Amino acid sequence: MEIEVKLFAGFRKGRFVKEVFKIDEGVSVSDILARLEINEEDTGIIFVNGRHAKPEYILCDLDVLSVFPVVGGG
Amino acid sequence: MDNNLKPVFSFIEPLSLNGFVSINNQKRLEEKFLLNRRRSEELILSCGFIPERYKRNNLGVKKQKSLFDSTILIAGCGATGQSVSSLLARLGFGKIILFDPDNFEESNLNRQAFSFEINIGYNKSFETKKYLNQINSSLILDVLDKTIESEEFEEKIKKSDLVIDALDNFESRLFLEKECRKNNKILIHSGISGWCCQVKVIMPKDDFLKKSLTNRGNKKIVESNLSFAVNILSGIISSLAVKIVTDNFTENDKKFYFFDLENNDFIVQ
Repeated sequence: MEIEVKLFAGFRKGRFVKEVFKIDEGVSVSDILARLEINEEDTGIIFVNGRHAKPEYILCDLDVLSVFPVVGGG
Repeated sequence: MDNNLKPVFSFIEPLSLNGFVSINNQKRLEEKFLLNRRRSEELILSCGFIPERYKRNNLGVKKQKSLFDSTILIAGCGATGQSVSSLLARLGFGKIILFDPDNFEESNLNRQAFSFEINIGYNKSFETKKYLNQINSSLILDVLDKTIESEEFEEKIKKSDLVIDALDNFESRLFLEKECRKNNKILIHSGISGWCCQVKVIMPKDDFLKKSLTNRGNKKIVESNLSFAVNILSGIISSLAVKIVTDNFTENDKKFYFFDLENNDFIVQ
């Protein structure tokens, strides 16, 4: 299967903006984050195909995973 | 037109120019009918005229009156709360409710609109009220130097037409979203970090923040907030507030906005 991973803001540093990954069946969002050495606690919004996805979501062929950093305020 | 408005209309009509009433003529109206600034603005709009101060809004009488009639609750009065409230005051929103218990600190000077060297240590909500009244004296400000978890919040959210998240922590944001759901209010969520900012309109039945924040733990974010990101964010929030209050809000406005000014990345999805 192939998925596309898009990273935003600081997650791009030392990684990439957009990349296609070949994955096996049963791979979750969490697995991808671990492979990219992104701490789950540092993530804010996670979308798959423009919709909310939890870290345990199992990715499907041609899914587009977007990972945004957590933001604060003030 | 309401019969009660006829004497006011007859007084304003010869003083107006192309449908606009200058502040000096507004003062004459106030003297003639013994009105305060807010009431005179209400009557001018009700008679189909627009105070000249809103000329460049170019929204038309109906929309300008909708802003005047609306109540916006802003949760948090830091950089975002101050900038948004200042824009809403200039646009002509009628009533703003502000919640923030914090005082100004030196580190606020880099970005907070009403933070000055002379008011370090003063409460942010009360200071903001002071300056907003100077911007627009017809604006009603209900200011509380308290958190949104205080007992007064329930009564205030019920009175509001729209709620804006200008908070700085996840726990309060989740509480705010829950309260908006309970009270059937639209929430404009906003967040900022360094060069990045995000905005999302959350409809009353949605739980966008609960879905996106609850699995992230309570990790403290490295605090970095740049003034230009605050201003971009405040502009988007204010434009959405105008659209919502004037019934010009579409499905397209419900998208997730994420702007990364460091990498020139402007995402709307």
